[in-house]
Amino acid sequence: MEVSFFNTIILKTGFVHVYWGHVVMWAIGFAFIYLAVKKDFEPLLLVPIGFGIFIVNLPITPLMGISEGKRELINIFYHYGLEWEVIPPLIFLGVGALTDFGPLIANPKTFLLGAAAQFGVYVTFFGALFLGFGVKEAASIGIIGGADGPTTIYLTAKLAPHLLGPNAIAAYSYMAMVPLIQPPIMRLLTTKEERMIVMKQLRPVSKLEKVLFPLIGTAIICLLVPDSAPLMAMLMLGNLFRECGVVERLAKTSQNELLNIVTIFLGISVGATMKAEGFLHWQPIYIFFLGLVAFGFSTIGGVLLAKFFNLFLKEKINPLIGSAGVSAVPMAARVSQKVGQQANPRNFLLMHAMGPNVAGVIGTATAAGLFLSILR
Amino acid sequence: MIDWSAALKVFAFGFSGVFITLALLMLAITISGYVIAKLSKGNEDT
Repeated sequence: MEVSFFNTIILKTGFVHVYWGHVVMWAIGFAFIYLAVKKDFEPLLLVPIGFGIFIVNLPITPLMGISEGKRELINIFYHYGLEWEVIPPLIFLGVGALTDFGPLIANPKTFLLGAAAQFGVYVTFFGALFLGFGVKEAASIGIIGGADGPTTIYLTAKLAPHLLGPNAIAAYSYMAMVPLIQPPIMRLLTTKEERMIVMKQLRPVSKLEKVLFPLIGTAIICLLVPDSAPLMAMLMLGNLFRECGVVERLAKTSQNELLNIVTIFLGISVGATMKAEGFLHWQPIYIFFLGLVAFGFSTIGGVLLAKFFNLFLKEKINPLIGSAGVSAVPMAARVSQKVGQQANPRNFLLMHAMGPNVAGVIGTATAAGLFLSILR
Repeated sequence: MIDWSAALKVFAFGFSGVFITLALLMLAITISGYVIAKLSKGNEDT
């Protein structure tokens, strides 16, 4: 009787349910937290994601399942935040409130660099098909090439929710690694003379232009690609808060408190999708490989279009700003600045690169909307 | 088995769609910037 009672108690602890897969996932969770704490790689995301991975792989914990017909704690965050598609648009609201579209308005041709940098999305889409993924899965993997975490999560939750964990992790991991991935490709595709090109200072942008931009942008994109509206409308609303100058409290809340709160729910929910049983097989490995391919080809697309522009332009543009068309804001623009300064220490490309950089955000959300309109 | 028809449709419609959308946005922003500059110059002159 006492032995049986003791056995029951033991079986109700998590220890006896641990298997090697859990241990591997703990190591992955700790690695994420290590990268965030020690290397400062996207800490706002990697800390909650890493912790989410860790706790969801503590066996029989009532966190991510359904017990007695009710969703458990993190499952509630996941269901209402991600499956109901609430969190990615709210993050876009905050991104919009943080983003200055001035460099893009001052040099509108950089919109096209943001479009060209979606090249990796479509190359990876085909790569994923060749590796045996279905069309919807391939689209959700391809969008990693846009280097935009919320858009990746938004599209994956709609088209291939079972890939949410690996896709989100791949997107955020490679976004953090933009300074390592992009420079060799940028140098390979450009000559030193091209990297040394000094660009003319951008014209000042009036307040009226900045206020009109979110209205014009919302109208055009949402009319052309209605499926991108949840992301684009919120991005532009956040930007309108920022630029109109009369709702400072809303702008600050969107930039800070709201963005921080949804980031917590996003991080822990994404991490909690990575249970050992579903994660430790071939698919995530392929996705990580394809994510790298996606970032590489997106960089190539942006740089090559900038070089193509230079065949026709009187005032040449520095092709290094093309690589910033991947939407990792502002890291990709900083990479353009850094590589440009290595070639010419008196070159300041940061503001020029911010144009394609923020165009890339719009381009990736548009690409996601187009995937949805074709595949849903 | 890859559904090539769907895949090619996604590629052609998707990639060109991104370019067309951003090109239209570029055009709209260029025109609105031009109009605003003209109007503000007109106001300064008067």
